[in-house]
Amino acid sequence: MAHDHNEPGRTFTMARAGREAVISEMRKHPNMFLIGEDIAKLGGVFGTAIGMADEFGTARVIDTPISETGFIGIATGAAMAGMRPVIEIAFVDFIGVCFNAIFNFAAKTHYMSGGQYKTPMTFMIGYGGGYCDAAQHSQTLFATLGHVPGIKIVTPADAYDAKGLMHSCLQDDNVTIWMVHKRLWGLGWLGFPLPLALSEVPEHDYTIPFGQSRIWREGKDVTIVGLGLTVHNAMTAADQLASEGISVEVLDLRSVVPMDRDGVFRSVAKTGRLVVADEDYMSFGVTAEVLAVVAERDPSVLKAPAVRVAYPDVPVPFSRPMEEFCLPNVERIVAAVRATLKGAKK
Amino acid sequence: MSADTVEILVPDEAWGESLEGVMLTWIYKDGAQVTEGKVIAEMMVEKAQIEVLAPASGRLTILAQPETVINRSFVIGRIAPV
Repeated sequence: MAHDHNEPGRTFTMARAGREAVISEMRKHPNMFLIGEDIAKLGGVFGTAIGMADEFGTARVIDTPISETGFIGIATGAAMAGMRPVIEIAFVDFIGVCFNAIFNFAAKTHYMSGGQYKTPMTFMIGYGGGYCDAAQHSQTLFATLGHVPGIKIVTPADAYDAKGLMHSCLQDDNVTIWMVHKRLWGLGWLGFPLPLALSEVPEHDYTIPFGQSRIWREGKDVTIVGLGLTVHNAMTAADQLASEGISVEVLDLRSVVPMDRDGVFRSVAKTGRLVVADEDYMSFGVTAEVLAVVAERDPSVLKAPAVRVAYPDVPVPFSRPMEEFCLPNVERIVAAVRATLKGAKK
Repeated sequence: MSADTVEILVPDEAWGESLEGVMLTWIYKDGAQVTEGKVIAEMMVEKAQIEVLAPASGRLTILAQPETVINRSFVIGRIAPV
């Protein structure tokens, strides 16, 4: 793609960055279409599809009724028949009614057909809480989706990664899920854009490989593994701890599946201490999987027990103070780092 | 301010019945050269996201900072010819 070298640097929100990738791929692939609720007329609840119906028409930017079961079934069938659907789901919480299409058809058809059928489909999904939207509109659910083989899952933490990972998803020939924490979209009504999530985004297309983590900050005393919004919380925690002379390394997983196990182990082997921060429920989740990497490879690299900062195993409360208490916020991450520094191997 | 400098205002139709909006982000930095018709900023009126297009080509001066309240007549920036 031609790159205009006179173009000044553009600072994008994550919604705009993801949208630019989808628009670019839709221009290249006439068989790619976008389907979901409130995308054509409204431009997406989180601004993921602003202006797209104007360019591509409502045959390729399709507003659906509130029937996730129906339109994800349509998308899965369309993918098996050779099209490249992009499915917009504003809230990951609603994915429950689509599990049969996703788990048993989209994720397994390539394998069960001996590679004769592919299912090139990408979900763009919002997740996460912190704005009083209660138990059915605030979940994260990485583990629920990541548990089933055949699905790749990414969650960018800034606009540069949002665009690159979206291109990787759209170019993949099987099921990919691109998830963005709602507080990172850059939408005013969900809070002002976080300065760290805004980043310069080149005009040309680029990809970021699946399963490649990113070190946001190098350190030597402790590794904080985060993803999505918890990367930003970890960065703030690292700033606070630096003023006390504690050197924190912040690792952003970027991909949930496949997970960069080598990258995680490399960092923990260097620092000797591990804190994992994730907004998904604690049990059977990303935090446990990260700890398993170290436990399986060589737990002797740990100078102290690892600490998990995840969502307690309870429904997300509506009440602001109760929700704040549960979130993997800066305060909890700082406390976890302190705990790993106090804890010593027996 | 030269006579050819163009003021950036948020178009009337974006406001609806509202008197106030909030500046969200600038896509280009202060002093950057921008092109007429391209999206240069995002703002919010009520719950709606508004894209602000460059009214002219030239050098951008940012007047309204992100996270500040703006009203209908507020000049949020200027574009000077280069």
